[in-house]
Amino acid sequence: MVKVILLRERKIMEISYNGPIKDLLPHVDYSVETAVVLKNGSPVEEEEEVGDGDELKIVPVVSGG
Amino acid sequence: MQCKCGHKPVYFRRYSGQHLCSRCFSRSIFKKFKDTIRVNKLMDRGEHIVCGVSGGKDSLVLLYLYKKLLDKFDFELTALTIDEGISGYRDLSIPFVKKACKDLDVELHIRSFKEEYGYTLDEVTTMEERLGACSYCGVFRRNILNKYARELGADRLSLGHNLDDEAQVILMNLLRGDVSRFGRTGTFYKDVHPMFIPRVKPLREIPEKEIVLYAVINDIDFDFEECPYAPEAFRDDVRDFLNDMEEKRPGTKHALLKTYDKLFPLLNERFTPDSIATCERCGEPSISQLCKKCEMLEKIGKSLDRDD
Repeated sequence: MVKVILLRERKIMEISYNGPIKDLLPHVDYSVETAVVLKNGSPVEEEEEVGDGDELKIVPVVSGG
Repeated sequence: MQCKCGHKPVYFRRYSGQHLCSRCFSRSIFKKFKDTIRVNKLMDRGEHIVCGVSGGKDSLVLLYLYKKLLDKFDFELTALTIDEGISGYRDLSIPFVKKACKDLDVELHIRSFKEEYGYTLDEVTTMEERLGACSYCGVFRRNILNKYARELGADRLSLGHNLDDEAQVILMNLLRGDVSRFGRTGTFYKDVHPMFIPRVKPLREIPEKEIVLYAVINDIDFDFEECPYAPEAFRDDVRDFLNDMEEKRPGTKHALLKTYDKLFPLLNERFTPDSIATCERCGEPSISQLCKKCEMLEKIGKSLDRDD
């Protein structure tokens, strides 16, 4: 299971997933353009693979107004 | 894949094909900021820059970059925050500004709609519903920023608009057929009124995503809430379209801005007046006899009279 923390939504999800981050993003309503992703606390390229035991933090790109 | 320096990359810049580690990425952002200032002549030595800071990522990154530039260049830096009176939003972001200014040792001035106009934005929207909150906020905020930047002795008022903001506005004005506004998104302004402080946007070539990543890498704490009044269907559609295009064709947003910048001198020449009037009520720069801000305040006053 991958633990996904959505910072804006203040939501934590557990997702069964193995693969690159960029393909996981649409499952949580984000895309490469709309999210900065931290894997286990550090920023990573979206091509990076994630799987069991990893934690992802999703920082929203759009904010303010 | 490795960064050119040999370290592990944290970011793939698709529009240039570069894989960048956090250090090379941060350096590239500082360089882009400096180059934008140099190429567009956005600052001269010894000038006083007043930086509009909201507590969101763009303006805090802008403040941080200016502070870094102070190590290399002689100028004066002051932060100016406008409290529009949006409960559950601005009251939560101002502490981020205060903390950043304290950490960076930058003088901060806070002005509010309430003390300037007598109403918070929340109060205005409950009294006067004919125009949306963003119409009032935009006019009031531009007015107060210009007025207080001038009172603080600013040579330039610097704002944190990023590449996404600029690309969205260009496309929105084009799609609306609003040619006079279409000519207002450039790198410079004509000197149309002596009381108008020139506005500069040194982040206009940096994508919004890179601003967020820069803030994360450099431990710049920011408020990632969206303004409760911000959701605007048209802008959301334009943003989604541009993001979609950028994913399919990296470099779309830069190409749009570049095209605009090439057209801008022509637009400016053709559509921007050489001088504008002075509001007969408040003395601020204005297109007509009464400025938009005074016109709106009058409307709010009448609406209050109706309620009495």
